[in-house]
Amino acid sequence: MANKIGRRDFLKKSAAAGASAVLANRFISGLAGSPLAAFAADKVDLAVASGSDYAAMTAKAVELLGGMEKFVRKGSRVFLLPNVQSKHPGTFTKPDIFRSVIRMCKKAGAAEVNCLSWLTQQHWDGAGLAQVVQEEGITLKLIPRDDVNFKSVPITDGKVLQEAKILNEFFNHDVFIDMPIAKNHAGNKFTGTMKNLMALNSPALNRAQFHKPNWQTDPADIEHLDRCIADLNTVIKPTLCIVDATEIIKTNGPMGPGELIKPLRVIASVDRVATDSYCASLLGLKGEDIVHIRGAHEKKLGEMDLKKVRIREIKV
Amino acid sequence: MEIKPSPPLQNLEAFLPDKEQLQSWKAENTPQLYKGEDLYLYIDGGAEIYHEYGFRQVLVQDYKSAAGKSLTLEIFEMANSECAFGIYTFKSSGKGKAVSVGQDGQLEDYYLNFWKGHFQITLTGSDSSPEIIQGLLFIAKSLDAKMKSLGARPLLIEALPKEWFPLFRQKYIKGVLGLQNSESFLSRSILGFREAVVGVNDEKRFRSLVFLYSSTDECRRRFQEAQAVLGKSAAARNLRNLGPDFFTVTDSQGRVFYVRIFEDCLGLAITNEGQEFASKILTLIRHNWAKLK
Repeated sequence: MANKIGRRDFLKKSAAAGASAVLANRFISGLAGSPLAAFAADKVDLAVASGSDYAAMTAKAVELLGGMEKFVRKGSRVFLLPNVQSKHPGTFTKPDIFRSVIRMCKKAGAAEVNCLSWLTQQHWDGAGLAQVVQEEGITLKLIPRDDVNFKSVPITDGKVLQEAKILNEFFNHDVFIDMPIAKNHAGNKFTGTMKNLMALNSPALNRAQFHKPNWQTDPADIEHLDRCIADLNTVIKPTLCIVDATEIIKTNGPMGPGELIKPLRVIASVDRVATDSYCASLLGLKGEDIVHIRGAHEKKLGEMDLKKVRIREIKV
Repeated sequence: MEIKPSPPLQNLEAFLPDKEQLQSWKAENTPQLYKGEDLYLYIDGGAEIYHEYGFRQVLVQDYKSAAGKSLTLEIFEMANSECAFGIYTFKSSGKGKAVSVGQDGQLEDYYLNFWKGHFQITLTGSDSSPEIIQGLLFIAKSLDAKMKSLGARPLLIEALPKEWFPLFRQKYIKGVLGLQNSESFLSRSILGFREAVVGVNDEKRFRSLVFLYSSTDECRRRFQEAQAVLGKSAAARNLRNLGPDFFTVTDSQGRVFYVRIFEDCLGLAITNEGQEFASKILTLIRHNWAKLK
């Protein structure tokens, strides 16, 4: 099932084929080794822009990785996955960051920029992202939670999860940009790029499989949830991660309200494990303390040890 | 403590401030109500902690000021007043400013939490401007005036000596999620409690926890299991018996744990102040709990 396609090959094919039938398995991870391997010649693995102009910071972080053109070829169909958890401060991807990414994608020549969500219009309205969708002229499609709208994807390398059910329409895209906000989570302490993928997975499966039946009393439940997240990430691979770490909650996540901290950073990388490890550090945690980060590192989905990651930090 | 049978669900809209009371604020959209499992529709990926504390329903109402500021009111109806107090302690940092709203009102940065009876109320502003703060207080007070019943705090809270652990630095825990958010442990054997309380002393940088089990036998079994597991754990060092019902162990971060059993309770002190100090705290807890029973 896994499409053993390298990133450079993928980009070449994307440009040639546009939105064609070969896209069905485009995001099914099959890359051997670290996602950084494809970028060995580049100087930056993880770009961090700090400041107060969130749009400019986002553009700069992407520029440090080589620019959006490196990820979005002309004619691409781009899928964006921001976090619209709640309207409380520090819990959702900032509209300015979202808008900046949309504009970069369009400038790079994207034919379409789309968002899909099984959350409600109220979630998108509350986060202020529905307004951006409208103003920037992209598409937001709210998908009913019915099983028929999800495609079964076997997880052959899963420790605890054997199947994912991913939004059907997700596979109609060439480029997937994962855009969470980094923040505290009452279960597994941290949520970032990897946990954000649960928003692609069937909510029914998230409920039924990501928690043990006796989760309220089983102390292993949280670790099980983390293992499921790592397993899910073995079959879906973002093209690029852009994380809002500007104003984020340190407690009472993911919904808030909670203690708000202001790292005032936007992070961009193709390595979701390095990205999450870096963002966890902003919350006073180590990547290795978070079971799904450690699990993804063990599965060679990315680098957890920040000493091995080429980080470029810049003030905007 | 068992969750007692709950009364019929309340009409939460009856607690909302009347239009004429709102002054410069205006209700936006219609209030949204989520009951039981529907909470997952409102809080995607974070509803479990509310269910652990006995969630029954929540009413959400947005407000907007004449100047365009916005705030959100959430009224959570919980299974009983212990549960309402518990989720309140979970959500409050204890570092906020005490305000005379409801029971134990706390104003923090851009939000306000209080509990009253078997309800827990959170008001969240879009920022921490003076207008928002005034709005939070104003709407909270209007709501408070309509909520007549008071609730009793859980008995276990009284086990922690107040001279060391002020109320606003305590967390009342009903399950694994709440505990793991508050503390990380060397052994899971200690879990399986009915309820627990965590107290934090900021000045001396130490913590105490009390776990209540369903029986003395269950408590002793957990105590013995924890000792056995820690004896084999690579992450634990300096495991020593300090008496028949008392042991100490150090974790990989150098935190020293003192664990003592008294009847159906397990007391923990996490401190680097030494055995004498830990014993003093644990003795106080034991005396408090004996008096309460």
